[in-house]
Amino acid sequence: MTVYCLYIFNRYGECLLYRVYKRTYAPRDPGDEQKNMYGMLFAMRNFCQKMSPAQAAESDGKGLTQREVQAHLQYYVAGNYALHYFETPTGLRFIMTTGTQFTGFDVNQCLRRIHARLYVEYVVSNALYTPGEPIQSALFLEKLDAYVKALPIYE
Amino acid sequence: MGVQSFFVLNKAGGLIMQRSYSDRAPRLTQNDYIHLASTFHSMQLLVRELSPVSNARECGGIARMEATTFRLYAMIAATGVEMFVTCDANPATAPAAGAHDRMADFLKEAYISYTDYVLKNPFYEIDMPIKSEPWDAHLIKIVDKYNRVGS
Repeated sequence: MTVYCLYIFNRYGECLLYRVYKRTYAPRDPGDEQKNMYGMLFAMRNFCQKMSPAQAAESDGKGLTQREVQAHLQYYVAGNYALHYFETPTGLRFIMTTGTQFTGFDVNQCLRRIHARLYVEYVVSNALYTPGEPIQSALFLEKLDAYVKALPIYE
Repeated sequence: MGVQSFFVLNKAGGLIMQRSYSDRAPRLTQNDYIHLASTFHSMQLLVRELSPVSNARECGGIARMEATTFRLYAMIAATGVEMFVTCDANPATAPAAGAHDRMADFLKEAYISYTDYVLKNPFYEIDMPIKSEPWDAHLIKIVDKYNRVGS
């Protein structure tokens, strides 16, 4: 079980951060890969919303009504890796690729923590950071690496 | 965890069969289903391309996908035929132990019945939409079986 890499995209599909951890196979062009990644997740997001089951809402006196419920992608497991996805209401996307054995460990929660405790603290609160620019803050990267490397799934 | 929707795609990503098995399954038009199927097919290609540990050929494609309100299980046969099935999921509860294996078994069983009812039919043209009442009836039996185990 390992963490392969971490991506942060903004809502326009620009890659704010691409961090490699234990990735063993490198793409020819990381920029192309990031575009593919964003495109794929964009398609997957729409796919999930369409596929979401209708939930029977509480009875309104005229019988049960069907209501569409928003579905958000949480993760997928492919043949040899898993991808975890967390999207904030502002359209910021946190993506982590890991090994396939993570049962019982909530990787989505980690992504939420990275957003709330690291991104907000060290990127948003940084007066020198222009929104939409790639993140270069050394302090953020240091804290992020320390956080990711301390995860029980990192080994 | 109830089975909702079952899709079969040919190797080009065309939808050749779709059935809904629950009244909570999303109600979509036939066009939407075809659209979803080809979206899924292209997603599979990208998922393989994006593998951080191997090249695209060695990565198997999506096996399972989880969203807040449903789970999706998929398989690709050696011939390129893809099948995927969605089940509803309560976002508050983790899947029951063995649920993932059970749905993988469901797909295997569906595939076996596909070879029996569809591929062994001499009038069936490969990669064309499947219209087979006996197979439909058999699938309903399989779905019932897995719905019972799941509850």
